[in-house]
Amino acid sequence: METLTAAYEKAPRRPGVLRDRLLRFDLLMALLTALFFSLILLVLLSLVGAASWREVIAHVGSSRGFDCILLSLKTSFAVVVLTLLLGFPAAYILALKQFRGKAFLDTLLDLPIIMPPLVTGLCLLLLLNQANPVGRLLQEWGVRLLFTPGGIILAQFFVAAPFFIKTVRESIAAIPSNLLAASATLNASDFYTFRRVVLPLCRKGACAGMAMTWARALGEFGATAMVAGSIPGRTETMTIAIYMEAMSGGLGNSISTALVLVLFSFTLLFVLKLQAGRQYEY
Amino acid sequence: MSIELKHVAKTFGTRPLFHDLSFKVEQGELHALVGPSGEGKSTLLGLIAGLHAPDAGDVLINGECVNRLGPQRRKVGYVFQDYALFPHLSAFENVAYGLRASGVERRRVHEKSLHYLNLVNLNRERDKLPQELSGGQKQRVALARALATEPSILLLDEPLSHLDAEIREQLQFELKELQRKTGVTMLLVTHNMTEAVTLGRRVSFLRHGRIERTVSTNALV
Ligand SMILES: Nc1ncnc2c1ncn2[C@@H]1O[C@H](COP(=O)(O)OP(=O)(O)OP(=O)(O)O)[C@@H](O)[C@H]1O
Ligand SMILES: [Mg+2]
Repeated sequence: METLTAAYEKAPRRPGVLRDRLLRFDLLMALLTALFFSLILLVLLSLVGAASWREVIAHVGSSRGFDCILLSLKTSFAVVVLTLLLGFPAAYILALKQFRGKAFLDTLLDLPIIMPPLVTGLCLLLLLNQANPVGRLLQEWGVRLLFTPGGIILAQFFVAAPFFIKTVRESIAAIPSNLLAASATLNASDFYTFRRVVLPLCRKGACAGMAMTWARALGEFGATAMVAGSIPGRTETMTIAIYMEAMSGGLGNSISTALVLVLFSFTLLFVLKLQAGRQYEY
Repeated sequence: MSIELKHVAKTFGTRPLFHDLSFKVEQGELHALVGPSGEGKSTLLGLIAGLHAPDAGDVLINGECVNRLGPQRRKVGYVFQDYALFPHLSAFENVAYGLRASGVERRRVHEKSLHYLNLVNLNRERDKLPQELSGGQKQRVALARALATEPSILLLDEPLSHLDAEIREQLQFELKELQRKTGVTMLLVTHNMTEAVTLGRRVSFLRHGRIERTVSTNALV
């Protein structure tokens, strides 16, 4: 104990210096933060500044503009529903169960995220092709995915679902194991625990993951283009329309669609944030 | 119901915690377990409740080996050392949790939860979330929650450690009464020797990975 006292007494006491240093540090952090956010705002403003609202409304009312917006909304919504259905089980298993090959699955989950969407699209194209047994089987069953909205959903799902799964897995893994143990000692079945403890406690993560997946599906371009092409009114999503119009000289329409896309994504993110609820301290 | 551990071994990582641990709590007994910090008292309770699997040896409840049964099927009540309250549920809902999970009828759930909240003097705090409760209040919710399902075995991991003398004595009395009236088998971990001796009919000392000795408190008094 003597040594502790000695060390304590020897420690310099200059609160003024420390405070100044802290202040300078805070200032530096604030400046860098400001820099980052101005960058985001600048990029956004470039889009808003270039659009005329009358043009945007006219374009949304036009058949091509309306079709691509509707298609994007429909397919991305389907992707979110699919993701919820398959994503929760995957996140649950990956977060709570120990088994062989888990590291492999983890890596597999990263693959769609690091793979260029164009390559993903190419893979899907090969998979669905006549030459592939799976493609042939689907053909026999009458399931047509190439150049159809179904194909768009598949491509977007493949690219976007891992974001949800990863986020939800993290928030399930953050639940203290004691809570799950307590639930089990209170006669709760695994399903009951999932419903009343796991789900409510990963709500924030699930909302964040859903927003990311939805936005990612809406913004998907490469894989979609490969699998579904760009048939106006049939497989032309918002992002594909933005590209096609810009390349063919219709920059105004391109900007209008882009603005709708950004606005929608932003609203989505915002609404889901409001829904997320509080983060519990464990 | 009696509890018995036979030649149990348990290792976390590389450090063996128990090598050959045998231990028995008789049916209807209030048994106190004391020992230095980090010796594995909580782990021992976890082995009985089915939260940990023994590396070797058997865990017996009422003479039957339960090694392969999950926590749900062992019907063992557990008060966790760190309470493990559900942070998103009110004190009342925490207490009601086990009853609801067991499919008890609504009105009974309400009655019983209130009864046990009352027992630990928390009826005024019933709608508060755990984060709005003091340490001692949380501890009492954890106790009420474990009691509410009325298990025939209760494992208590320092259930009264954060309470002031008055309420601690009151709850010690309640636990003893409960035990006497219902014949529930209780295993109580405590740091407090006085508590061990006043509550326990027998006291076991855990040290160096085994039960060093077990004494009957009748002999002490
Ligand atoms: N899940 C776990 N993983 C790894 N090590 C663990 C785990 N649980 C407990 N241990 C280790 O086992 C030892 C015993 O822990 P335990 O919690 O059972 O002790 P304790 O007797 O209850 O201590 P205390 O009186 O401080 O509560 C400790 O050294 C701890 O680090
Ligand atoms: Mg302990």
